[in-house]
Amino acid sequence: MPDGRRAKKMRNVEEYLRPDVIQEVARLDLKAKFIVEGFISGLHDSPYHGFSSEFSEHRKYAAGDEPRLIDWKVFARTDKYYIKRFEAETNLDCHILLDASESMAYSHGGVITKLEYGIYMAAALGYIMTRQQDNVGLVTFDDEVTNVVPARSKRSHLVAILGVLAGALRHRPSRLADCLHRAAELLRKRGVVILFSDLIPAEGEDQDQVLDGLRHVRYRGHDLICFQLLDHAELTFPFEGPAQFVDVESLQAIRADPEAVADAYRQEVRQFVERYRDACRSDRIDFVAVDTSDSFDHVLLSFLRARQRKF
Amino acid sequence: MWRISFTHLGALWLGAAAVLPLIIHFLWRQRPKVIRFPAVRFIRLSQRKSFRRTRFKHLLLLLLRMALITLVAALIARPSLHKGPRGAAGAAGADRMAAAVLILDDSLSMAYRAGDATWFDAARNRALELVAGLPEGAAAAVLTTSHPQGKLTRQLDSVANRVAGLRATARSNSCWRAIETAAEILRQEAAPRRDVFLFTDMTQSAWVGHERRRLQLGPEINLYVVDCAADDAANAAVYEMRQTGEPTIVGGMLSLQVRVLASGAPLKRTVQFELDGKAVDRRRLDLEAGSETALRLRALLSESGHHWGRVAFLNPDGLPQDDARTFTVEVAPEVSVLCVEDEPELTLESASYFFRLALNPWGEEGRGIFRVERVSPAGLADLPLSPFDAVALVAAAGMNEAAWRRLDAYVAGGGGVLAFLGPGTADTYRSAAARAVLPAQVGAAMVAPPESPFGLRIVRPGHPLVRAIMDSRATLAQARYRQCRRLTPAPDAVELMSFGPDLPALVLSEVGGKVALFAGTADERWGEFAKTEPFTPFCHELLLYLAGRSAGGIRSVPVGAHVPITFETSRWPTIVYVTSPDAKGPERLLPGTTPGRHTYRRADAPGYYRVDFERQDKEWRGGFAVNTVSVESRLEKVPFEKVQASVRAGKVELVAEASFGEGEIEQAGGARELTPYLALLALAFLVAECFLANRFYGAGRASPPKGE
Repeated sequence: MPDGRRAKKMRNVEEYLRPDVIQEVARLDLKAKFIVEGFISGLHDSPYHGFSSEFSEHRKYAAGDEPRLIDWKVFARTDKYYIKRFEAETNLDCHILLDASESMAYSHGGVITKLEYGIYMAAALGYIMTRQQDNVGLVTFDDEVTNVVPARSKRSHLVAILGVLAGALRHRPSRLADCLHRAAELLRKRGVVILFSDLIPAEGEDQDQVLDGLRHVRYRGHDLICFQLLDHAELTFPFEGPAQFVDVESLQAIRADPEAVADAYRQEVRQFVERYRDACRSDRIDFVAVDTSDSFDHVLLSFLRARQRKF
Repeated sequence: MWRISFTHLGALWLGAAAVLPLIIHFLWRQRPKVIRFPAVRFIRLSQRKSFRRTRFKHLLLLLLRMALITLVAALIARPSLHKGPRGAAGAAGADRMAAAVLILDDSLSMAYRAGDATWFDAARNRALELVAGLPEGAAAAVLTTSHPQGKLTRQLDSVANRVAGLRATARSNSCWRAIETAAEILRQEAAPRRDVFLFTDMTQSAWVGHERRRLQLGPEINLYVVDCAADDAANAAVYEMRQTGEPTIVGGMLSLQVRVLASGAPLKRTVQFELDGKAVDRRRLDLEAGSETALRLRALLSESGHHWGRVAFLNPDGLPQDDARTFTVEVAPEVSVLCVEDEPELTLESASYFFRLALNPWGEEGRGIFRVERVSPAGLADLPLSPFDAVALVAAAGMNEAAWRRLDAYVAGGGGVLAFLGPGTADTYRSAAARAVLPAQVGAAMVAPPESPFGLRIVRPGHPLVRAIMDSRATLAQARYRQCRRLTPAPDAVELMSFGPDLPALVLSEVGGKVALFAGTADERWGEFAKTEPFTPFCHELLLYLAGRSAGGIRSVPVGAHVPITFETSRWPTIVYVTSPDAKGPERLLPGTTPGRHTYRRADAPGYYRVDFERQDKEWRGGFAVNTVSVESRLEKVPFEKVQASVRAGKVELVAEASFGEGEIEQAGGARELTPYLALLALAFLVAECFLANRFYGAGRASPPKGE
């Protein structure tokens, strides 16, 4: 792993949580590893402990716990008994749904596309899962479900996932609602479902249909964590001057003055996101809006919360 | 009226740059860039909502930017705000805030004396007060109604001196022309306040023709009329004088009709009629207020030559200039005319009937200034011609060579000859003897088309004879002839009248004596001219001219007229002296450009002007009378409302006192620099533009709708 070493020598591990930095790493498995290591490194100062193969977390000593597990160093500092939790104590089924449609391949400025962001997150999560012996599966889709990787916990399984992720993009338009319904049917065993998508309805779909798809997954008994990946330009609409906007999927064009429509556009996007947020809250779906210019720990932390809520 | 002027008017062309935003706008929108974008559906929704608002924003910003450029152009042009009329000059500083033209009515009526001062004195004093009250730097000009010329000056001392030096004249001048001139002067001035102050007595003469006049001064020029006259002025005047009866001849009676006017109040007057300085008649009159009385005065003219007289009040009033009217009269001895015709014994059927009737319309022996004797051409040879002032050939076909020779000798001695042609005047008038006398060669008879007979046209309007005929009010347009003879003027003759191209009607020769040849008949055979009224003055003036005489009617000229003084030219120079009524001695006139004619241009006072002629070989005397214009004697005032209705101006007011208050000037005529205000406005526009542009297009970019 010469690339990884060189990268590690050059940068602090936490810097790989930044999308622009992680792009410097060529191999996807290394990207996942660096993201996770950077994330774990940052966790030492946070209250969320639980993602380490050697050390998971501390909890108060309770009667019946083995005394060998008591962390004496903590006892020396706090004068209280804590025990270390190692390795995964549960087997979690985690399914990653990745929207690989053409709209996900968009990036304004060319730093990182929404799909790349999703792929890196999926790889990182897969890396974490397999290290904790959780079962990880993957479903990719665009206008149809293109790949289904069943949930497994073997470390070798991660290679299969990464391979699918690397070839996920087919430059096809999305049929998000249909694909969500289809995924809901495919994922029979209850678990955590992590969705990476921009949640922009396809041509002929509307937001309600997408929400119905999300509810379908949720009603199948899964804990659904929905990451809405939106490019920074999609949120801020930074364009200037008269422009002709061409839809990347339908190729429909519209001429507009960005300065003139910017306010209304942002308002529309804000309403669009809020609608998802409200609907997910009422359906007990974890909804996380992600700006692809944000660092990856934002996503990983959200996953951590959801996992703790479940166990 | 508020108006804006610009220091740099040309800079306003920069305002054309206001279209630049528009041009930029259109050029800009032609080049949209293509952007691939996944969230086009939100743009579509946004555009639908914001379309009207966007268009409004664009329009608002566009207008703001255009207004901003226009304001900048206006700023460079340095605008100023004035109250007042539009002027030719662009900038009006504080020293040019007012311009006033003072008009003083110096007509005769203003010379009316009320107490110790005349109305003109009062007007002059008020004008001086006005000049003293003019603000520093104001421009002023002074006009009079008799001399409506002047120019604006800021040297108010000279204006005051000019006003102080003015005097009332005896002339008659209305105010219209002076007001027009004043308005013209003010139109050339850039002062924001422009006023005309007219000091007048508001009498009839000042506003002659106000019923039909419409004077346009424009809305930017004010007219203030200052009434300087009292309302109860009483005045009596010898209003009008005209001769009745025939022209005066030696031994004849001069009959005059004189009208006397009283205005303002009842008056008692004694009227005296004087001839050559001696009282001839005297009448006492009781005149009712506003009444007119006619007097008939007569005097015997026993001597020929120049006479003068006058009708005057013995007790003058406040306007003494119109208390007398003067006249001159030239009393002529009888003009003896020898009428030569083929059948002198005939009366009504004779060819000279209408000619003789024209010379003596009364048909009475000894009446009128012409005495006519008749003779046949054959009898002409035996008759001495020296007693006759003129010889008239009336279609005398029987003229023989001896007769022509007599006439030739007569003309050579200074006699005058008039010849009317006719049907038989062909051969005998073409002989060598005839050609020696006549000023033109007589040709064939010319016949006019029945539908367009020959009409008499004047060829030399400046000739004294023609002028005399015109002055006698003879309407020659009535002269129509069916036939005439073609005349070919001699080289030393002049064609005075014609019947058409190459058809001379009256040809005159003045070599030695004066000979006139008329191409038509003196009766009705070839035309009806002899039967018309103008034939009488035509013959009178023609014979008087040929005889070297002038008519004997009374004459006078109005005050201020340029009086021609004529005399016979000679090889010796003639020196002309004029003694005016108020002069202590005679004034020698300089010769004019026209020989035999001087022009006297200073007939400014009414009365008798004696003219003495002095030549190497003789001396003689003449003169002319100058009278006031009748309308100046009427002192009834014209209602101001009628004047007001005739004048279109910014303000037309009748004021008791003329004033030029500084406060009013400040309020009305102060110039305000608009540049600071425009600069503030431009700044406000700029801020508004920046604010709105930032708000429309710049706000909200940093507030993405992030979730958590």
